[in-house]
Amino acid sequence: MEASKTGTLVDLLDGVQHITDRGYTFLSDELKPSEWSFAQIAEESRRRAEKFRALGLNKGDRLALIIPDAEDFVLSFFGAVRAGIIPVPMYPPLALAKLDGYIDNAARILATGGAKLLVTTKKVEPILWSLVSRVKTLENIVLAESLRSSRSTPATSARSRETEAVRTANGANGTNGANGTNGANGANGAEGTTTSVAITPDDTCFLQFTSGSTADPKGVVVTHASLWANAAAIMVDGLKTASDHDRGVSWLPLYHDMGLIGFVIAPLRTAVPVVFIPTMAFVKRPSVWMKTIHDYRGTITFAPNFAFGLAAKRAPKSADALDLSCLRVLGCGAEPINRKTLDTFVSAFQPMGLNPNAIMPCYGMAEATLAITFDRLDEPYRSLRIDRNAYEEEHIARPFDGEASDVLDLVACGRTFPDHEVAILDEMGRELGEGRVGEIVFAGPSVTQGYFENAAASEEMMHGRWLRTGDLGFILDGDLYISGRKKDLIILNGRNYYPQSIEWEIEHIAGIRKGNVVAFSSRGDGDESTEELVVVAESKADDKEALAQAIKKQVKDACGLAITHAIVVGPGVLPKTSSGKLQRRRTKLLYEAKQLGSQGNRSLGSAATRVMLARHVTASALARLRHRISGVLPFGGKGGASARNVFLARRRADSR
Amino acid sequence: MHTDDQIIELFRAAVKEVDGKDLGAITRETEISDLGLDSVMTMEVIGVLEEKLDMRFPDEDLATLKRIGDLTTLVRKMAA
Repeated sequence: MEASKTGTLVDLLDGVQHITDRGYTFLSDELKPSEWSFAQIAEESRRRAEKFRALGLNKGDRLALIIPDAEDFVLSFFGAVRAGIIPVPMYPPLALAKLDGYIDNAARILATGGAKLLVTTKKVEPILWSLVSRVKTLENIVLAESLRSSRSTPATSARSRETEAVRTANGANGTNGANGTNGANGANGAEGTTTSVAITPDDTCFLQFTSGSTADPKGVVVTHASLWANAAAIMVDGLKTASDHDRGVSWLPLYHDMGLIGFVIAPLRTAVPVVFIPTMAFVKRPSVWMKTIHDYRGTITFAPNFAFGLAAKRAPKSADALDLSCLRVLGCGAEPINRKTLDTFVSAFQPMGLNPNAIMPCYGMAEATLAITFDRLDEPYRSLRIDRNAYEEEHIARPFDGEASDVLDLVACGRTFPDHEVAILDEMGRELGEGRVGEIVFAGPSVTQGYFENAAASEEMMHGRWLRTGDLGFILDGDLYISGRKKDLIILNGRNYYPQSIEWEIEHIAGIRKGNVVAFSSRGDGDESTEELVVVAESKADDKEALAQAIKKQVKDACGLAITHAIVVGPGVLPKTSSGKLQRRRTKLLYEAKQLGSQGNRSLGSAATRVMLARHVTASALARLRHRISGVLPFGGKGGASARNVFLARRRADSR
Repeated sequence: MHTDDQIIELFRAAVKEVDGKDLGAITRETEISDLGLDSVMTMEVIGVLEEKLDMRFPDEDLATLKRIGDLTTLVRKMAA
């Protein structure tokens, strides 16, 4: 298998189907493990494939997944893929988030992906039923709980299995009834009963919707061949993994490429076991990340920059609390990497045995399947201090050791993998040499076929054989450096500025909410020819004017730039994406329309929320009732009844 | 069983632990989103509070929390 140049995810599942001594461990909120060996996962994928087929789904149909629980998500995902059905992973409604906006976004993604069926969980289902009436293609909602098998395994925590058995008693009985001809759990029957669907490397495996652009969602077509290529790049060339001593640990959400491809799909390639922490458990208690690595002797983990800051802040006081010497790769990607955050993380955990060389900056995006570059294994992470003036005026990266205000400090993201290429292009599409700044482009078997049923965007994405990443950067001494988003570039008097470098300076000011600062340039009101530099920052401070003055001074001192307008707003005013990333372009549009802050906070008042929630539940219930009585029960009486049951690689889309 | 005031004090201590800052006066009517915590911090505060109270709030209930009063009501409901 390892030698094959291409293959499918089904081949990967088949490749691990005899491995009974390791697999995936799903931790509950209380960190209790539920263990699945690779053999059990492969078998369960066959069973769920049959279930999906029994629900009327055929090869090529799209199946939306809104499943917060990793265990249900992974098993349903593999089941769908084995049946040739195309899963569309979607984010669940986030805690304390706006429900109205969530339902609107979900409806757009479902419509764009043409999903026929939605799998969700009991908890989330009550608010999702309105989607059935809103999305033309969507025929029904199925509860993930009803897809579970009543298997009992010695490796599994008895208590969690018992609870589950009670919870799914109905669903499980339905299953046995429906699949009555052959035992649902029989290892002997499983292979024989599966009506084999021919799946080839060129087939679409799943659709990855990017998080940023909510008005016009785009689903990246991830083929089996591109997954195969990227999984090899990650597990074999990049991480040099070995099944017998490596173990992944991840809290990353599975509706996101870094969590799904990096920790659910790629590990099958070299049969590396993985421990999954619920994302919410990490967000509520960031210390569980390193604790789990310690407990399970994890060797590989990945996260975006912000998580390193969070983990460091929550580091145990005593150095004896953890032994992290097991960790050999700690990948950092999915958002701009700040050298200072990595340094803070290392100082916090080095006393606990963390090898600083384990930290591995990386770069990627959904359009590249996942990974584009990894830094070298077992080497210290490095950053490069370059001359800010030369970068902004001449678009050249020139190493420079001057005053902080004249320097840009960028972290090296390493190099790409065999059979893949990275280059830098100028505006005319010409390849630029070492140290010249331009758009980062990528080529190779990991590059996506394009966006689902969106020829215009797919065409715009490519320049000849190159995938245009939309990111700016340069290559120096073979290492790739990312300096910003092309469309976020601030251009003032013909000079290019990287908004992050301005925003990071402002975040240091006392009273400013970290991560809630946006800088952009805007055409001024009067004289059309001048670009203004605008900064919007959130603070709960009362004296917003004093803070605005402090921002102007700080940017003047640190970057030598004069801010035209510094605006300090209350918490929750800046627009964010569903995944919590700031929306620069949207902020700019609101600013230019003079609407910034006028449409209220991200979060609604309490009474309003209750009314809205009640409205959603009512709409949902009505839609469900309509769905029932209109006789639109596409999956038949019995089946229908049991079916009645829900921050990494950088995004191409408009996130930051 | 905690009174509203006790729950509010635990909440205040949780914010102090997460963000290092002292909240001014807060009442049942105070909106959580007005406390100057971002979404990640808010969830972290909830996590610390869960540990102090030795209870776990269901995700779907968290989606409805807006005011401090919603939180105290939820805590008392769960303890009941």
